[in-house]
Amino acid sequence: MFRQVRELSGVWALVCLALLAGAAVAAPPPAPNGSTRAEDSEWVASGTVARAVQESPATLDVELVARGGFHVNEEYPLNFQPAPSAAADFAKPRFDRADGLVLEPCAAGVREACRARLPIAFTPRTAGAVSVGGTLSFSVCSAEKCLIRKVDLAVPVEVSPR
Amino acid sequence: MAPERTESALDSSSGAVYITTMRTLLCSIALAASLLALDARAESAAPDFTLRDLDGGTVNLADLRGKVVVLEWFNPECPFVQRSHTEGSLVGMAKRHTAKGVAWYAVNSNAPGKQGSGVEANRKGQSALRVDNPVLLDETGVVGKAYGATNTPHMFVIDAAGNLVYSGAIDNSPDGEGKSPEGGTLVNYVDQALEDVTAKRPVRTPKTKPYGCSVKYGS
Repeated sequence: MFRQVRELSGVWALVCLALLAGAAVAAPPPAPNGSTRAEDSEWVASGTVARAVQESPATLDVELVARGGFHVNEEYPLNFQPAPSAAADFAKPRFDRADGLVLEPCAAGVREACRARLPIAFTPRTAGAVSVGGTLSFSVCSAEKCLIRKVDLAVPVEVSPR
Repeated sequence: MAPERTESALDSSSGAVYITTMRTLLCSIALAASLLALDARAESAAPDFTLRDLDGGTVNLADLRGKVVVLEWFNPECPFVQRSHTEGSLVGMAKRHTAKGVAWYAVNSNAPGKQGSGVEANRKGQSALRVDNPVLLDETGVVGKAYGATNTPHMFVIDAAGNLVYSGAIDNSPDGEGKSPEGGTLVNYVDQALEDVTAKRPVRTPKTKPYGCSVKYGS
């Protein structure tokens, strides 16, 4: 009897472990708290905040994707200037390459980058629905021409109370 | 005895090889250093040219000997050129220096059919960007290639003796607006070069990396 119980519990433990492992692999990424997107035929700029808790460090993930035969102009000083807000404090008045800019090549073996990501650190000061954003300055180029753009991004964020 | 002789023969032979190798190495280093110094100084005879302006008149560099000349590679539809002329370091700059006797020319080496090429596009750009100095067309790209012009704007300063004393960017802010200077302080390299040439001293920064759009050569 004792042996049967022990065997059964062992089986259940294995089943539970398998289920947990499966859940961990299949778990979808946390839904973004808030996001925004601006685009043109040559580029897409977006801002996403995954999680925001009052008085806790949070990140606004700014992303630029070049498309339509354009690539990110790496020589241009891509930067994000947060919009002043009473709802959030940004770590800096301007974020640029030195703040963790990640560039991804357009394809394997290609020198040019088609995707740029820049994390913007901020701290929400008030709970509830707020807007977090700023201006993303960037340049994209093709063989024929270059563009310089300044795009305003405002992300609606629901900040949880601490 | 034999081994000794062999050893000493080897010594003397390897000594000679050592001296020859060292001599070759030192000569190579000296040659490379002088080439690098020459390149860093960017000082060499400026390639001569004759180009037409938008009114059909011709400009020959040799005729300008005795004057300090600035060549600004130009594309009126390049956003870096536009921003440099409306917000950045090129605002009013040519006017300021031509008033002091400097000859300032914009040169467009974009091939026919490419962005910003042709008389009409350049006239329009000249007016929109308030460019008072002549724009020279180099549609074959021969002059641009002779100078090694790769970008717009790409700046070249030629002293009164016809030597190329500066080549590179207008400034250290690759946004064209003067708002993102590397190191935090805006440096206008062409202003500096012209200051140095006027004071008859070596140009402090003779060569920098240009930024902006690529020159749209035909081939």
